[in-house]
Amino acid sequence: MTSYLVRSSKGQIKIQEMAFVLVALMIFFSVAIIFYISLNSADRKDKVLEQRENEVLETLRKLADSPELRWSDSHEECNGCIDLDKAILLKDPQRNQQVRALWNMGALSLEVISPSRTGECSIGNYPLCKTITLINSTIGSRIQYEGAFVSLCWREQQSRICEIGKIIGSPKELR
Amino acid sequence: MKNSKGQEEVVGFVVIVVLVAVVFVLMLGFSPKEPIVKENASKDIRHFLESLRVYTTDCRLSEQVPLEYKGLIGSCYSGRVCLSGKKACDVLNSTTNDILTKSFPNGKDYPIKGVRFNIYYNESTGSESNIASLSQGNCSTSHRSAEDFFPLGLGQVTVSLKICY
Repeated sequence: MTSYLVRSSKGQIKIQEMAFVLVALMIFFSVAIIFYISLNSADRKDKVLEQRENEVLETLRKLADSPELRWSDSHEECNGCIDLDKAILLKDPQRNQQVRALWNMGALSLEVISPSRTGECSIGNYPLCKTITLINSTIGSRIQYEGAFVSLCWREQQSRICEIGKIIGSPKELR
Repeated sequence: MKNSKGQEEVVGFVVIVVLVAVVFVLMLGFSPKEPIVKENASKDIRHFLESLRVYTTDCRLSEQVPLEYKGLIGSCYSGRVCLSGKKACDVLNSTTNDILTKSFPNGKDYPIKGVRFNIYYNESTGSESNIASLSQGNCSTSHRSAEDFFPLGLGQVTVSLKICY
């Protein structure tokens, strides 16, 4: 009777050990899976952010390719080139209103990066200026501005002068 | 005796399950990442290189037209001198340095820690020669890069830019 009881309790202890090991393994693998999923979701968040940034850049580049801004010359093809002569004319209030309605953006400006320039462009100081602001209806907003590299070109006598710049824009803020 | 055999079988089964689970977790961890993401991330650098190609430089070979960056690379490769008396390669180096500093401000206090820029000429025979190289800041961290190509003579020019974060 006694020996049966001893054997039975030994067996129970072994089964308990096995159960503990299994539970520990379950916990270990659930922690590993949770860790993997959290890493993966963080990676996915980064990918989504990157994708959004790329979408904004592509939209801005498409805008740079629109007939209102694009450098058009039958002799020279220029990818991502903006005609600053056209852009400065869009600052005229009447044309500017049409452009605002057409593009429906919160902000849109062109900025020369190289060579170094300063000041907002006007007919008086063009082309030796830094920024041409076409739309600016989001002053004080928290919307982040994005910029895509473009070539900012104008005509000087018979040649084309191009500088490195950015087209900077943001969507309209929701009210 | 029967009981201990049964227990051994259970232990063996548990070991197999554990091994399969470990292999599964390792496979998940080391699954290859999509290379497309890197390509997308370099879009803005590619746009920059496209703009750089048509940038008007200070070098003139004739009175009328100033050279574009692309033309300046060709002039540097063939060892020409600008009307100002400066060597085309010197103008290429100073122009590149100036543009990169303004377009990608870098250093310890900036999000961009360093920049690596190279221009190579790949001849039709397959040999490669360096036209210009420029290095700013530290580039041992993560990076994004892009390349631009255009034909020159019988070969091809490769312009590469690496931005380090």
